[in-house]
Amino acid sequence: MEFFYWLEATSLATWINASPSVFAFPAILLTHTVGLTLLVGTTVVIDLRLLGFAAGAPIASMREFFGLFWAGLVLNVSSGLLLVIARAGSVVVNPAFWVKLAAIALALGTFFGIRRIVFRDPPPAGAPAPASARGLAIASMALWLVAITAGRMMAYVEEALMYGGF
Amino acid sequence: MISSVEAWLQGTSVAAFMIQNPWAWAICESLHFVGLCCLLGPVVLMDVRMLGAARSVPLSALHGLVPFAVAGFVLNLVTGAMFIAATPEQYLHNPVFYLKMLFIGLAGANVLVFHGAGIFSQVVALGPGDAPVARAKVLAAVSLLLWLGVIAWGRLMPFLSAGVEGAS
Repeated sequence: MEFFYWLEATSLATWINASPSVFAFPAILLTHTVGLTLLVGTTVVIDLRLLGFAAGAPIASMREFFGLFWAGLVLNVSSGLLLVIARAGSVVVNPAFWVKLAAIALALGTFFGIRRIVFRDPPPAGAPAPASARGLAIASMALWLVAITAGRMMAYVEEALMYGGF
Repeated sequence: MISSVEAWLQGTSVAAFMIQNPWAWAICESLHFVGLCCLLGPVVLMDVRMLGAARSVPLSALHGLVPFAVAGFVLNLVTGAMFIAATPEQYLHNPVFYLKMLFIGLAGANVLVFHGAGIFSQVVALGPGDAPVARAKVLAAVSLLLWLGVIAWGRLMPFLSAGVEGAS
């Protein structure tokens, strides 16, 4: 815990928390939302394609959108780290944060699973994705839903932990 | 005028429901983000394709995902209306809220131009590997900027509303 209290007392954390500038905390939050849109928006489209929607697009062609996925992930890991540093002490004792992190880890796992199953050796044009990939696509969407909800709940859980009640 | 709308909204059962159930607010916020991803996933990928990237993806296939985008939009319309019904004073006097609505309107107008000016029929005929149409590139870039603006006005609303009466 010492480390996390030290973290939220660093000058970086103080700047994020206390600066009245719209480029401090608000801009970091905005970046986190833009990254979310790129990361999860792209993932949902790839998942829907594996489930048989947009069937006119060859499954292998969806690989071209991986760049948007990585861009969203980089934006959100970096903005997310800054948001955690700013409130490290309260974030690490927030159960919603750990639910969010676990959901993200599992969701990224589904991405790598899907990449191994269908993008290393894509099915021939017109053939549906294998059942294992379709299962991972459904799991991916469910896990991102959990990650988004847990992320949103963090503020409410923190408040409940501080003041009691919801 | 605004104050009578405000009074009416505050008297609706939706407002009462949102105020009596704090978790309803939190769930609607989560759903607002889910709707955002469902709406902008297909939109951003179509725009990126129209700008000339991801050329092995036929645009006509991506266009098949429009129902998901519409579902995301409707989800956000409903959850957004619930926020306004519950705390109209935070929105109806707030210029940032009207900027967000303006940008959503402009993004909608952009879609109408895309279909009305015959650009849709040109780009939807593009097969894998085909170069994009110049006018479609402009509309795609405008679409991306407008949606970025919508996200920014929405996300920054609490921070830009310091002088707004009733805003938190």
